Amino acid sequence: MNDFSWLWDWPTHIPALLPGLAVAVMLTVVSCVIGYPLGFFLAILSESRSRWIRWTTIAVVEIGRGLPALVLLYIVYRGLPQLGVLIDAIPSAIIALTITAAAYSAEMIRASIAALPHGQTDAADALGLGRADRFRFIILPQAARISIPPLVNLTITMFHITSLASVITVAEIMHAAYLSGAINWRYMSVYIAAAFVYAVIAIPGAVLAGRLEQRLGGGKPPRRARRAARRGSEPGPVVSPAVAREHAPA
Amino acid sequence: MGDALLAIALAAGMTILLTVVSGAIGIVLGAPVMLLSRSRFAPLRGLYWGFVHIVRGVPTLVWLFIVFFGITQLGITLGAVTSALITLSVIAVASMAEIYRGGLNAIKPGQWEASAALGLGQFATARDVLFPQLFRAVSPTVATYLVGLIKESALASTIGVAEITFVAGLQVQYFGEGLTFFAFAGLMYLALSVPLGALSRGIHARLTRRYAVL
Repeated sequence: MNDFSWLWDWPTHIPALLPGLAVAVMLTVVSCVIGYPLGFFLAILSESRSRWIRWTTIAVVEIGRGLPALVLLYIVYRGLPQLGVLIDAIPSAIIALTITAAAYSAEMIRASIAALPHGQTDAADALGLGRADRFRFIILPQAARISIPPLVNLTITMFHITSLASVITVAEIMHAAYLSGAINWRYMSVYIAAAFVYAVIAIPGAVLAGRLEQRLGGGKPPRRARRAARRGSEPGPVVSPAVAREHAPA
Repeated sequence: MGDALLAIALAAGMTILLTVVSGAIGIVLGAPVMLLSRSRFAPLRGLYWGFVHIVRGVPTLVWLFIVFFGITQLGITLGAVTSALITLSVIAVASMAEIYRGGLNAIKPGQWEASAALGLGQFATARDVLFPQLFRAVSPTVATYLVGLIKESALASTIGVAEITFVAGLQVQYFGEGLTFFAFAGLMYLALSVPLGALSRGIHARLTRRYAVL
């Protein structure tokens, strides 16, 4: 059975997956909209002056990051009934994915705050700002800038992770693909269509995250310097993108 | 009960096997693949870009199902463990290549110039100047990725590979008590990933203390 028709017939399977895409997007949006503010609170609590609050928060974040999302899903959907708590598939998926989003974003936001030079805190103290004002006006605006590219990446990862919800019967993309495959036995065509649906959102997202990282001053040097580095030659005066924009002809 | 927990603990062997094999393949093959991104020829750089973005732009679960279920449409059948190893390895190669590329970008152009000024050849530059710095720059990221790979291997349970999550699911089907068994499975993952994280922090601290670069 050397059947190569999947090479061209896979796009015909995309429409069957679109209702699943809507569910996947809904799961991503809900878990990120609830999860990231939670992660922000966890990040602040992990810097608390009370040792107990600090250690409890770090433990919660590390457990949330240390467990596979699949195991979290099973704990909520198949584990909680042991305590008499029965939750439907979609709310279970939202709970598990929100915990994942909160734990990972907490660590990213904490790292962004930690990445600020210590001089910023010292300068705020020298200006006589209180603890709250120092955080609100000095630390937060800068940390927010640093944390945007990793949070965009995390959002893409969360979109990918919604595929796991299929194992607890949530009717998202992979569930729809599985049902189609069970009817027509064209698993290759169907799963390539599913891969396309995920990639068509995730790849532009990843490119966007890379651009943001460049523009917000993290990570990669400007493209000109990268090309020069590849050639191993002198890049000439390297102008940061932000500076170059300021000096660009109007 | 005790036997069931023991079965889950023993399944850690399969989790470790999946992680070590695909991690090792990624660490080794990631390097030559990364070199494509620094090729003089634009098509090779395009090939790298396409490979990395397509592999990482599609969820692991989808690749796993393409390799395990999809390939049957071509008249090929692969075992569950083989499918899981192939999938996790290819994803690891793409991820490691990106990690290496990031590490190489962090090395200042002055290092190349200094090597050229010293009259070092390309091979000596790579071995004595770039590699030691690259190793130090990427070792924490590689360790983070390997910890992630331990968790990623849980997906193999969906195609019937008898690793921690799969065996925990079996116990739940036999005995109920889902919370006990899945929480225990979670503990097993923590027991594997926490020591790996601590080990990598130790190694990184020692490397940077001895050389004080980067």
